[in-house]
Amino acid sequence: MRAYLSVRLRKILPLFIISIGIEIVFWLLRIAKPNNASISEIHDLWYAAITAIILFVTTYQLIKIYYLGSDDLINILPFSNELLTLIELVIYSGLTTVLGIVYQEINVYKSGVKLDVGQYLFSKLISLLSFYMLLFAFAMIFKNIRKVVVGESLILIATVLVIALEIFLFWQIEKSQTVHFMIGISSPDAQIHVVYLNILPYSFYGQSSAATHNLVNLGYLINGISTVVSGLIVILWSKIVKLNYLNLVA
Amino acid sequence: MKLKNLTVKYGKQVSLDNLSVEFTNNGKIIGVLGENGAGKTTLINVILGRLNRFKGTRIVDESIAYMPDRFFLYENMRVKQAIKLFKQSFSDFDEARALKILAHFKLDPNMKIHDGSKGNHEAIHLALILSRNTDFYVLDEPLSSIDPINRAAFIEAIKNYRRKDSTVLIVTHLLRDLGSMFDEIILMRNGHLILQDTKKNILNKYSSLEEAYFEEVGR
Repeated sequence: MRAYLSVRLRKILPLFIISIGIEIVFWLLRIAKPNNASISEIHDLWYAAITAIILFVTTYQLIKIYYLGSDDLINILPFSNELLTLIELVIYSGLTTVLGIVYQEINVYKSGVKLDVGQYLFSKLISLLSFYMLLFAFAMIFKNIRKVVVGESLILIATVLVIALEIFLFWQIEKSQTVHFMIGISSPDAQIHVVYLNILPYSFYGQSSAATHNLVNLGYLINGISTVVSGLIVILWSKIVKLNYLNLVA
Repeated sequence: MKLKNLTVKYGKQVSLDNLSVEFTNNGKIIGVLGENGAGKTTLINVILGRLNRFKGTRIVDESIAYMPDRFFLYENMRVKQAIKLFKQSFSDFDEARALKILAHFKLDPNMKIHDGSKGNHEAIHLALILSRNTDFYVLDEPLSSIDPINRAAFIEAIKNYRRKDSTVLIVTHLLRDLGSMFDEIILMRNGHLILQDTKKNILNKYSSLEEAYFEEVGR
């Protein structure tokens, strides 16, 4: 398995190494020109763009490996496709979290706010895991569909619907406590608290600290439940349903 | 290896139709032939355990090494990394044999995969697959990227470097090039097995394997 991990990481790492390298360039620029607001804005735009690209690429890779079965090296090795997909999504979650930590550290560098790395690590990791596990569960549920366009569309639509449902649920439970909120904005500002609902950052401000605590915990709970339920679906589905492991693009 | 009354359907299309076939591990080289869409790939997928939604019985207790007809290594790998990967992944992998086969094809283990030609890639694939000590080898279109001059080296490798008592199933259209190495032939048409016999018996009935193919498949 060590050799496999090394081979696989060599394929995955370049995107993340380049991204982290560019983050470090932004760090140096912000140290060199601390009062230049444009650098900060470009940095934020860059981070939003690269996280979207990484999400797109890794989503495609996961579908390619598990649903399309089009990575013949993975097909030929004696490890189960489920195990290799699980390893893949853990790698994606870990590396994306590292990139997020670097970005957050650079952003708080001048503001004087101390980043709670442990809490960020936990919230980001569980949010990414809940997304990739959900994608994996749907890739498995629709795995026996041989029409690639139909299968891929169903996987993506079902995943988006569940994410929307999670956000709706969160908002329904906690709407009385949230004074102001935004979806899709991640900020290190001390006054703005971020909860990741699946992969979407849900930022809120203006409520009491007790309410903040509740909102943060509810976010963890929803992501945790989503991850566990997706995991259970993966285990049960692979035991109950006979799955084909064909290369659908061959 | 026993497959009984296999039926595989993709929607309304029948890919295998109540097909039964048995392979004994007897050291033979068996050619699996048939037109496109005859069901050869489906049969191989059932044997390999990749296609699990079928009617019928599949009994496969033997170990199988499979060489797909597509390039399966990553471009950024070196050949020696591929060998290391196979050595760590398969307990039946014989590294010394892999190096011997690479030498047979005059390939350097330090070579980067993306520096190699299609023919080199196929040779590397073959070296990795034949270096496993398995009961069966399933080779899907093994010579499709090889020029006629180098085909002899591939045939020699398949004959000499695999585990001695193992059986080889070769899915191919290249009857003229590979026909000489077959001990047995399987012919498929429209999801049916239309012929399974030794080459000797077939050549008693027909003047050549090509004639047998055109007569049986073309019916």
